[in-house]
Amino acid sequence: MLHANELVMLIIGIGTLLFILNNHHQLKRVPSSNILLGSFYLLVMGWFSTVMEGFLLESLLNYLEHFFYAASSILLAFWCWQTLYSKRNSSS
Amino acid sequence: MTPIAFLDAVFFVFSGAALLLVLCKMHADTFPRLGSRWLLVCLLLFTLVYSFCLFVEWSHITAKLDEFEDIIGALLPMWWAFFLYSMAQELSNLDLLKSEQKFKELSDSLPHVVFELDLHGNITYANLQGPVTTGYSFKDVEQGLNVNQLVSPAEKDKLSRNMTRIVTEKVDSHNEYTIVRKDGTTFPASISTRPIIQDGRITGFRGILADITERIRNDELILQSQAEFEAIFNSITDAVVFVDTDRKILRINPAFTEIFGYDFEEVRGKTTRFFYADPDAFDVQGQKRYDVRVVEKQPAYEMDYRKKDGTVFPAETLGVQVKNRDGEIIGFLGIMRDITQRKRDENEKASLESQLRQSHKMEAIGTLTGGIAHDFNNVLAIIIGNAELAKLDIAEGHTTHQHIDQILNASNRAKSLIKRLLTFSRQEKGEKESHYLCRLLEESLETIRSTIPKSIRLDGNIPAKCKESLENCLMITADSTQIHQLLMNLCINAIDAMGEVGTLTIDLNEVTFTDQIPADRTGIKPGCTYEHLTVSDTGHGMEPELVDKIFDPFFTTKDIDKGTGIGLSVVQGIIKNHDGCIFIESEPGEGTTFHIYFPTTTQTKKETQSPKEVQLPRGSEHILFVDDEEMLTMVGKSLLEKLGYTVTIQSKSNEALRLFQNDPSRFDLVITDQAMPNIPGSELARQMLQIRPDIPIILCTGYSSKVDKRKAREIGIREFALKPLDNREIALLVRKVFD
Repeated sequence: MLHANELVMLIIGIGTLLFILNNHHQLKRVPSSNILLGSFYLLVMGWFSTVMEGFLLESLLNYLEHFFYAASSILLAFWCWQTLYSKRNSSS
Repeated sequence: MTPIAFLDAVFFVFSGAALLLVLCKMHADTFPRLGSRWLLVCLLLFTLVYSFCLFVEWSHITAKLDEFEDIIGALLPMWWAFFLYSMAQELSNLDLLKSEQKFKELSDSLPHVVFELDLHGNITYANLQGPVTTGYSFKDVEQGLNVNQLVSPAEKDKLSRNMTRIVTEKVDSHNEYTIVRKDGTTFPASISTRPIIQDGRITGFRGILADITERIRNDELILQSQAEFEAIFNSITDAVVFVDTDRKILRINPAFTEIFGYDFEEVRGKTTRFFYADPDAFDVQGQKRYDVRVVEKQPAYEMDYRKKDGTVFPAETLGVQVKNRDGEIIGFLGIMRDITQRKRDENEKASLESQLRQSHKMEAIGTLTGGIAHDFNNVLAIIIGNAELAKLDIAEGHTTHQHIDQILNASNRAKSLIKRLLTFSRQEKGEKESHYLCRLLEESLETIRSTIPKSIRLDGNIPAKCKESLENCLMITADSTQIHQLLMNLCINAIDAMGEVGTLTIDLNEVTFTDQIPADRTGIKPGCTYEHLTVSDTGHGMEPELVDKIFDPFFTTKDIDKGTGIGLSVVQGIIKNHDGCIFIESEPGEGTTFHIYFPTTTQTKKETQSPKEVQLPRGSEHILFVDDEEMLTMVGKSLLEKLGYTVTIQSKSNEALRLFQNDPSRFDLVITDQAMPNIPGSELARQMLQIRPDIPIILCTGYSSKVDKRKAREIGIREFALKPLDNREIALLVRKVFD
């Protein structure tokens, strides 16, 4: 069953994704940008899964949704540590 | 706990951990900056809340948070958008800051003033060099400093015009101004300005001001140095050529044009091959000296070059590498000094040295000849004297009389031989007097015959009428010594031209030129009679251009050790000295003929009468006869006594002087030899004259370099005679002194 809030999340997420793609060159200069952007991409995949579970493979996609969220949080935490605590990135 | 709840728990834990990590570093001076970091905190907070709501939902703890979860979840991507956008902006700002910092550092590191002006000319920015150069501080700039204050009053209009032009035409401007410092001093400056254009509109000016005092001073020094270089380059008397590494001519100096005859436009860009006398030398020198790989300094060298008119000349050449500031060879400088004159001088010097050596040899031969002549003349004097005495005692027609005549003839030939020897060795100074050229030629032919190789045939053709009697011949006024020398030089020249085999022909004839004088006989006077002497050889002959040069001093076609080049110039000098003319006919392979014309004279030579025609004069005076040759004193005594004189003889000069001192009035005449031990004849005469100034003295000598006729006269000696004298000559001389 499709929820409106999930659709809104996906739409705003895709908009943000387009912004990232548009400013990819600039954002690539963010320290450990692959981790940060990877975290966001996983989140988008989670939002996509939760929208899609209303149409097919509800259970599997639901699992995947929560998996993507968890993985995204791990990468985000790692990015925060890497950016704020790593000497290499601090110096930049 | 369901697997989903577990995943949500992981989601929650790591979100919380991330939030804690960020919160712990909220004030750290690291990326992201504070603004972005607050957005990150919000993002993490929403993520944490969202994960908590999910965990509560999927743990089935409560369903009351579902709606809240939906709101938070919907806002989550928005926070991501905010956060990422903020970081992108932050990165742009960082770039801008870095760029500004870079610009500022760059600007401040410049040795020139970098400035910005508004449209009114107010200075809005200046780098660190601004205060240093102008004396105005940044505070002055902040308080309002207009560019007009910096420019000298005389140039304010110019500045205004330029600013207007920049605004209207939107172009860059490069001008020089006199800038006035804060302390009133001025300096020249170059200002480059361009408009600041924002959104297509000019908002001000940006530019660089450079103090060009040093540059102007350097420019002046460069100009001065260039002027000095030009002056030197143009005033050098040696040819100077500047070529590139391919040896193509880039520049020449005026001396090059003067020496070689080429204008710059004729040689510009050409290789220097064209002015080498030997074109192959261009390549040889190129490998040896004019190659960028040749590093060592090359010494000067001699090379033959060809002028525009084809003339080849030697030049001392110095090749110099021209390098740029990096030490790379960018070309060569060739300096060529024409050494034609130096070479000529060297040849002349070598010739003079050779001539000097020859002169020394001749001097040595002359000294030797003189010594021999003296002794030989004494011997001859004894022979002749005794023979003549004997002849007086024997009746004419007697067989012995003829034998004595033979002795006298032979002695006279010997006397003549000695005279020629002295003439040849130039010990006897000649004087110009009337001579029969045929006789001089005969005498010379005898000498020439004895010196030329037997393989060369000598034809001496003297006119038959001269052979019959000299009275049929004309005379010339000449120095016999010089005529002998002239003939010798011409003959030596002819012999050298012929080598081993040939015919040397010497002809003599008289010629009178009418008004029709051949065009090639310049110098011949019409209506005059000349003795025409020709010297011909069958040698290799000469080219016409050589004929023109053979009378030049030191010109020779012979090897350096075989000829000095002065023989024919001496010949020409002798001919001029005798008012004569010389002409040459020569063809290559056809031999050479010298035509010499001597003007004849009507003056006749005083010929002495033959002994047969005169009676020897007699006398009764007392004569002191002094000679270190006792035999000669005996001959003299006998002869003079036969003539009636009273004779006292003395072989020692000091004894003779003592004899004279004892009784000066005892003697009426003193006859003395010159070359004697103890006191020479001239000194003996001087001392005797001091005792008795009126004593007549006759000085005789076989040969002496110390005294001659003129010197004898200066001493007071009445007569000077050269031995050997025959009886007739002695008798006449004695009588001449007394009478």
